[in-house]
Amino acid sequence: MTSDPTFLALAQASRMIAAKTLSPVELTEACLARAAAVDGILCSVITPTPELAMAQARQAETGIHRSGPVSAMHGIPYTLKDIYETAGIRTTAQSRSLSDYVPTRDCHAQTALAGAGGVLVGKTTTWEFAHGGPSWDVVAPPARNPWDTTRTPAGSSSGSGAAIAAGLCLASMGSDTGGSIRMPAAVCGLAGLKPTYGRVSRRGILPNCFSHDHAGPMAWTSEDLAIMLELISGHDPLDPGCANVPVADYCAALTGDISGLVIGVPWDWIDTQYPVSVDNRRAFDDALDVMRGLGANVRPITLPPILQYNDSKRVIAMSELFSIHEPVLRTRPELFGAMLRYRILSGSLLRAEDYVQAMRLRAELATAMQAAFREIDVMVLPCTEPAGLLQATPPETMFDSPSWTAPFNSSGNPALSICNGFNSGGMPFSLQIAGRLFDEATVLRVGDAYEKATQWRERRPNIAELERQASMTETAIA
Amino acid sequence: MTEPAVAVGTPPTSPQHVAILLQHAHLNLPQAYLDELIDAYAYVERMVGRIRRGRQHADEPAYVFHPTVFDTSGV
Repeated sequence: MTSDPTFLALAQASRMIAAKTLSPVELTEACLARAAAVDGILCSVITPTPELAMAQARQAETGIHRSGPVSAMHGIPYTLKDIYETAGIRTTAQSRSLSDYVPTRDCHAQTALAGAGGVLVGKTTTWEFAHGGPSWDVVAPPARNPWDTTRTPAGSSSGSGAAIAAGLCLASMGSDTGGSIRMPAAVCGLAGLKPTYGRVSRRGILPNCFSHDHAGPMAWTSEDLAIMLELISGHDPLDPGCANVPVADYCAALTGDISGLVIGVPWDWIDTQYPVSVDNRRAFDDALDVMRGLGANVRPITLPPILQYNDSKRVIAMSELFSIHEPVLRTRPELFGAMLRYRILSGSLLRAEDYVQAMRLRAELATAMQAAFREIDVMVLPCTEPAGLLQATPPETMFDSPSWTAPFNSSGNPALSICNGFNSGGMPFSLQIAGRLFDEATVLRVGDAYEKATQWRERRPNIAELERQASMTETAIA
Repeated sequence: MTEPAVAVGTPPTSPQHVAILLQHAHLNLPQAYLDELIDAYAYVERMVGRIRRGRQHADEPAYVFHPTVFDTSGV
């Protein structure tokens, strides 16, 4: 186990806090000190909240000493993606159109996590409105990947991924409309969960695409995610997309036993339609061997073409995106960064018929996905390729290429990203585990069993190197 | 069997036609943004063309209206 408290997994820190061998105040101070030391190069936090964090940490320490922790989050430093509204704290969505926006109410997730004794250390950078990026013409520069700062932490929950991986916090809340929790978690060597559509309330989260938006947790391990999911799940009548479905005991589900489970692999997606790289395929095969060794049965499954899921999702997303941002586009289009503006504009000429036909295709694709899950317990596939260079990408590249993550936004199924190794350059590989609707318990059980059977969760980025780079940046600015 | 909306090989919509569509949408954009849109629309059109049509009349879209979720009177 690491001796650096900022690099503890949430569950480890929670156990130590409960045993009074770790002080929430000292843990929070260490996270804030890490932010001061390295975020000049990482750009993961857009609005730090150190005064609030220290007040919450002191309150947590007093309360825990008096009567023990109220939850496993008690005294744990966390961050929120900057589309989560926070009362009295600026919430920009990384957009110049909201650069001075200070909400008067907390979103559902902040209410739940603060109520559980969590310590909010800041709001994290995102791609503008969780959609277009990386961009350099918005309110703050994009985050960098702590494993290699020349590389991207992916998006759109990029700051959340970078902040956890560098030890600025132990957990974060992201949002996922096409992979925006899972991909930053993946390339930052973390775990990230997109729950079932409707499992977690999105009340108070600035929308990207109503019909595909999901809120979910990011942290080091599946166990950490189970802790957070229990706290944020449940029916919220103020989110019309929130489902009234009982919440499981996710931590109790982490038995380590996956013997007899049936794992489906969509080989045609991985090998033919959207081929995985050679190194990533090797890491994926190794992960399947680990799961076979734990007693799972692996079998191929067939699904509709992966590009159909992405086409349906994008036509719907661009239509909804335009409907949300149309007033500002008409009056102050220059307030949007070029990347997001291109995407909003793209939605302006879509017709009602295009939207409805994409929704009809979505129904067909979701039906096929649920049919596949009648034959299997979970589906396993790569999440994304290891991080590429942090650079502007041509906006039109999104139209014709699929992703391995978006199909589960279309179908609504829960999907988890975990780390399954590192490439020769030291960048993380990632594995995706998807499950039946509202069966996050099985998804997390598989992720947890894999993590416990391997050593990948022990690695952390090189903080001394990050500190060196950050100090050079400060010197250059001075 | 359903079919793509646009047959393979169909040429993209002309910039002039995009400008007319924008007029109908009452969207008056600066020239720079208009150029962006004309560029983007070719990709949008191709993507929309891959969404199949010709479904059975009763094929419902994924969005199904549940009126009770909008009754927050008890909250």
